[in-house]
Amino acid sequence: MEKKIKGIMILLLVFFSFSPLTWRITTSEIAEVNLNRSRYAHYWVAKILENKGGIVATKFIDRVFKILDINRYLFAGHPREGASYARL
Amino acid sequence: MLDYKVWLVILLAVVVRVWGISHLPLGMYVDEAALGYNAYSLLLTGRDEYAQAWPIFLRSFGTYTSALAVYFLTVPIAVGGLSVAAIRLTAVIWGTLTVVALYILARKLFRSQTVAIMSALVLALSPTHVLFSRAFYEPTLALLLFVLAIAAKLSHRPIISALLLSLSAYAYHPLRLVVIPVLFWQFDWSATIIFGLTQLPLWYLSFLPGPNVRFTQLAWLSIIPAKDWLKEYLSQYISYFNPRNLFWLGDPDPQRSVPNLSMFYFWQVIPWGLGLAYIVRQFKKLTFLWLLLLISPMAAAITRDPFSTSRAIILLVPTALVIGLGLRQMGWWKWAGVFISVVLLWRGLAIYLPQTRYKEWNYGYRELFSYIANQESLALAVVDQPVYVLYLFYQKIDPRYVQSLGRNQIQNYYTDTKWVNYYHDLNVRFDPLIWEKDVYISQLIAGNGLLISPNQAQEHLFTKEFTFSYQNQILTAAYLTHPDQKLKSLNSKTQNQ
Repeated sequence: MEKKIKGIMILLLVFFSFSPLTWRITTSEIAEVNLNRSRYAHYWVAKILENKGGIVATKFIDRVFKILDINRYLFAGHPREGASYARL
Repeated sequence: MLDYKVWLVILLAVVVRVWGISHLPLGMYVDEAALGYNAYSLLLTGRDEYAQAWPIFLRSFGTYTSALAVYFLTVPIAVGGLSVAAIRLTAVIWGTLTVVALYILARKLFRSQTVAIMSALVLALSPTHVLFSRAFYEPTLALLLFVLAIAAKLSHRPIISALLLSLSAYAYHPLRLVVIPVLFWQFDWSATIIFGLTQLPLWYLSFLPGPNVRFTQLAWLSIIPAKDWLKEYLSQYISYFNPRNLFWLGDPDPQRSVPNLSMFYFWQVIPWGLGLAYIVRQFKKLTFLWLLLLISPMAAAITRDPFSTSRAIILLVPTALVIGLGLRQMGWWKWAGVFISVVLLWRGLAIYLPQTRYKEWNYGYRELFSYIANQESLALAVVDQPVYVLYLFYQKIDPRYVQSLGRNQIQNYYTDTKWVNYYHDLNVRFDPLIWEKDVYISQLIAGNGLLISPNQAQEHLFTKEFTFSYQNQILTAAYLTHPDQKLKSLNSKTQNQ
């Protein structure tokens, strides 16, 4: 029970920590999904791995990691102030 | 005798490293080609491309890379010839051996089969380690030697450990600093003396201008005022323990990361947290693990790149061990995590890597250079990177000829730091394009797909002789100049005016 409460609290923290950011899926994100789908040889594989649910999940995980980003708290984001090339 | 679960982990490690090795990543990075060609040169002549006999640092294109990996590479090249597969399979062997060595290390450190298997599994699937075991980079060898050194240390073999630590420092520059605290752990006089003696040539050469210039280029010391050094160092150092970098964003360098993946998988932040909590509670028992964890980014934090996985390659070891500890505490759904990891790794390697990073891996140059090599006319290769080394590699140019050019470029191997694109032969020269001059020479002008626009080709009466396309983009192209026609058109224009 205690674990469940902790989990719910973390979810709420993540959700409200980023209230100024949208959870809605934008047209550019849909375009990105379509582009990524075009990379696969089999449509059904593409559909499983690239979808709207994935966008929301990615946003959620991204925001969790932003909360955990120690450099943001201590050094105002430095040394990672720019965007990473590692993500597409 | 190894448990069948260990064999399964080894099998998985081999499969994810070997699968599609000759074409994933597509093309070849210049660092790989430089190491491969110099190994070929050393094998045939005992000298590198600048005719330096048995160097400790490889001058290459001014990088002064550690040369130890190159000496190891001479064996597979002697067996399989100079090919992409031969050099990458060497990396596969090193990577797989590192997984096995980590299993042995974890068993000695924790005395737990489960944690050892989990830690080995984490390393076997780590996107960074998989990429470093598929492409030929010297940190892969350094990591293997380092893990073996620690395993020897935990087995109370201080001399073997000191020798392996010394070798790992020879294998990759950042380890010169990192290995010292490990050496001093459970201090042993004889091991320290042996280590010190074997390190003398390395440290002597490190202070010569060549290797030193490389350090100055990479470190932030010269661009940050001394009063801010501590802040800069801490921000860089902490970024290596930042979960966002470790599990989500990854290395900003496109040749050092699998697209959309970091050093580890996003879900592994949970076992990492559990593992950290465990090692905090067991601080006194696990001080050696703490030491490994804290020293890992020590050298990497001095360099400018915010999260360089290659310079902090050692971080893979303590982090995999911590995640392994955390996985032990997780239930069946850790296997769901492993499944997700395999799917994400497949997606990163098979779908995103060949389709989004082909330019960074110089795809198309092999085809361009084999075209140029078969032409009668001289080609001017206009490239902004030291791509000449790809030409040497793919065309298997005789090292003796390359040395005859290379030795004239430098006065002293370790002190002459200036590098120029020096290579030329009867087929090709590597120079910048000078429009006022090169348009009036009968030659092929070759380079990437953006080198010459259609308007420029039309204006200067070039004919397109070769193109290599991928993903609807021209990656490399070669144009033939027509100086006679160009002069005629200029003359007729002048007469009309």
